[in-house]
Amino acid sequence: MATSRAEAGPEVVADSKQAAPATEPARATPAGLSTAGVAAEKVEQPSSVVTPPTPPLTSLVAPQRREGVHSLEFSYLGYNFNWPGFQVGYSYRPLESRQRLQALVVGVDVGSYYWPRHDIGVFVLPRIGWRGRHRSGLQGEVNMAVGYAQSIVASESFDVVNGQVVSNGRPSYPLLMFGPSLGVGWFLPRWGVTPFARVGALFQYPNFDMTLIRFHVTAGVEVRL
Amino acid sequence: MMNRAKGVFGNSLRPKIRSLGAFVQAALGVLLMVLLCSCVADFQDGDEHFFVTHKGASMPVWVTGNWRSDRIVVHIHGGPGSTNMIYYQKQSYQRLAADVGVAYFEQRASGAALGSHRDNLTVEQWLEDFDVIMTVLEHRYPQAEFVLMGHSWGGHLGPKFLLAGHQRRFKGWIEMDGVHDSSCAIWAYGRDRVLEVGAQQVADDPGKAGYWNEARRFFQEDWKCDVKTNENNMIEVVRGTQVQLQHSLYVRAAGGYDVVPDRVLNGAETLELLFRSQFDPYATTVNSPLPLQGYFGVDLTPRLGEITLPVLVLWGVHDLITPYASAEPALAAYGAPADKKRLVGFADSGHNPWAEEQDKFYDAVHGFLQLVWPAPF
Repeated sequence: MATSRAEAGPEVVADSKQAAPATEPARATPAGLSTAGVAAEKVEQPSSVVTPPTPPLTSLVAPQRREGVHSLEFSYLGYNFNWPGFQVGYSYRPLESRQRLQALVVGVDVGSYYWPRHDIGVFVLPRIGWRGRHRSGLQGEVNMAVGYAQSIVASESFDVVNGQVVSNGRPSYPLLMFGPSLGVGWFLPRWGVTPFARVGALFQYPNFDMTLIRFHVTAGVEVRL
Repeated sequence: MMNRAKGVFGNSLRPKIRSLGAFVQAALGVLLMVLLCSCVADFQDGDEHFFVTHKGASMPVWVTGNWRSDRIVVHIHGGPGSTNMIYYQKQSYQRLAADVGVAYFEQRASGAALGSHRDNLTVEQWLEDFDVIMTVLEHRYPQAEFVLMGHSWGGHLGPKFLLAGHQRRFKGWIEMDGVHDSSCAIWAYGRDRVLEVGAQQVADDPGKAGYWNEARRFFQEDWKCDVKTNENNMIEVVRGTQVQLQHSLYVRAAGGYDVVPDRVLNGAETLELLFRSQFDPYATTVNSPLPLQGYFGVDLTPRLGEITLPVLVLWGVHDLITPYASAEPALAAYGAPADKKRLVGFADSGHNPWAEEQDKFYDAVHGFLQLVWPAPF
C-alpha cells in the first residue's frame, strides 16, 4: 500500500490496483512535480507481472488537487461598499505550516473603481497577510496593504485662461493608500479555486493635506496556479 | 493523521464550519448581486456635471433641475469647508429645482472637491475660484440668467463677491442665515446667548454643570475675539481643537443650530449620502471647518448698501451660530429699494430653515424668484 501522499497524485495510478480515494493533498514542489511521483518511483512492478486491462482512468483517478503556492485572484470591488470596480491580484505563499493550513501570503492587487461624478481610481496595492484554513476548506485571512492610487476626476474639467474657458480634460491626483482587510473564503481543491470575500479600510493621503478613510469589499475567486 | 484531521479549528467544530461555509458561499452570491445594483440617488436625467479645476483644486459643479428654463440659482454652501450635500435631499430644494435650475458647486478643500494640498486658504482665493466658476457657468449656459444664493458662510462669500464688481452677473441675491457680519461683536453676542442657554440647562439638570463650566473656561481662556479691534484666534488650534470648531460645538450643545436636528439630517439621509451620492460626508467632516484667512473679524454690513440687487433675507429665529440679531440690520443695510428686499423669519428654525420649515422656505424663495423673473414658471 502506498502512502497517503502517493495516493493523491495522478502519477501514482499507472497501475489501477494502486489507485485509491484521495484523502490528503499532494504537495507540489517548486518545479511543479508532485512528491507523490517520487513515492511512486519506489513502487516498481516486476516486468513479468501481467496486468489486467485497465479501466478508463477517469473512473479511478482521484481528483487532482491544485495546491500551488502561486495564485491569481479576480474580484469585484465595491469601493466604499457601493461604487463598482474590479481587482486583479497575484499572491504567493512563501511560508506555510507543515499541514498547509496556515500561510504567510504576499501579493499585489491592481484595480480600479468608479465613483460617479466623484472620481475614477486606479491603484496598485502590495499586501502581506496571514491565511488560516480548516481542512473543510473554510479559510480566513487578514491582510495589510500599502500602495499607490491615482484619483482621476469623474467628469470633464474646465478652467479659465486669459478670460477664455478651456477644457482641462480629466485632472488627476496621486494618493498614498494603506489599510487592513479581513477575508473569508472556501477552498475547493478539485478545481484549485477559492471563492472569497474581503472587507477592509483604505486610508488615502493627501486630500487637501488630510487623510480620508474609504471602505471596500471585494468578492471574487482565487485560482491556484 | 489525527493532528492533520484536527486542523487549525479543531474537530469538534467541523459540522458548524461546514454549515457556515455554505452560508458564506450563499452570502457571497447575494453580496455580489447587491453590489452590482449600485446606483446614485442624487443625479437625475438631464442633469449636468463637470469640474472646474483652478490652482490645484478640482471643484465639482452639479447643475440640476430645470436649468433649461435659462434661470439658474447658483448655490454657495456653508462652512468654510462644508458641502452642498445637506440641501439637495430636502423637498424644499427639490421643489425649487422643479421651477428653475440649481447649480451646486463644492468649494476648494470642501466637501467632494479634489486636490492634494491646502494651498491658498484665503477669502481672496475663494473669490477668484468663484469668478472662474461663474465664467464657466456663463460659458456653458450663455442664455441663462442667474440668482445667487448663499447659506451661512455662503452669506459672507456671496456679498463679498457682489461687492467685488460682480452684481451685473446676477438678477438677485438670497442670503440664508448668512455671515455677512463676521465681526467679533456678533460672535461675542452668540457666545453670550450660548452661555445663557447653558446656564439654563444647568438649572434644569445640575449634572450638566461640568460641561458648561468647561464651556465658560473655553470662552474665557481659549476663545479670543476682540470686539474693538476684531483681532481673533478663531482659526487657530488651541488644546488640540480649532477655536471656531469648539465654538460651534458649544452652539450645537445649546441647541443653537437646529430646533429638531433630525429634521436637518436623519439616518436614512446620511446613508444615502454615504453610499449613493456624489458627495463625500467623510471628507466634509475632516475638512470642516477650514482655517480660512480673512473671514473672521470682517463685517460687511457697512458696505451692503452698495448691493442694489433685489435681496431676500431668510433667517431662523433660534439660530445662535449666525444669530438672528444680524438679520434685520442686514435688511436695512442692503441697497435695494424697499419693495425689492424682504426678510422672512422662521419661528421654528435655527440655522437651517430650508430643512426645518421647508414649505415656508420654498414659498419665500419661489415668491422672490417670481419678483426677479416675472414671467411664470
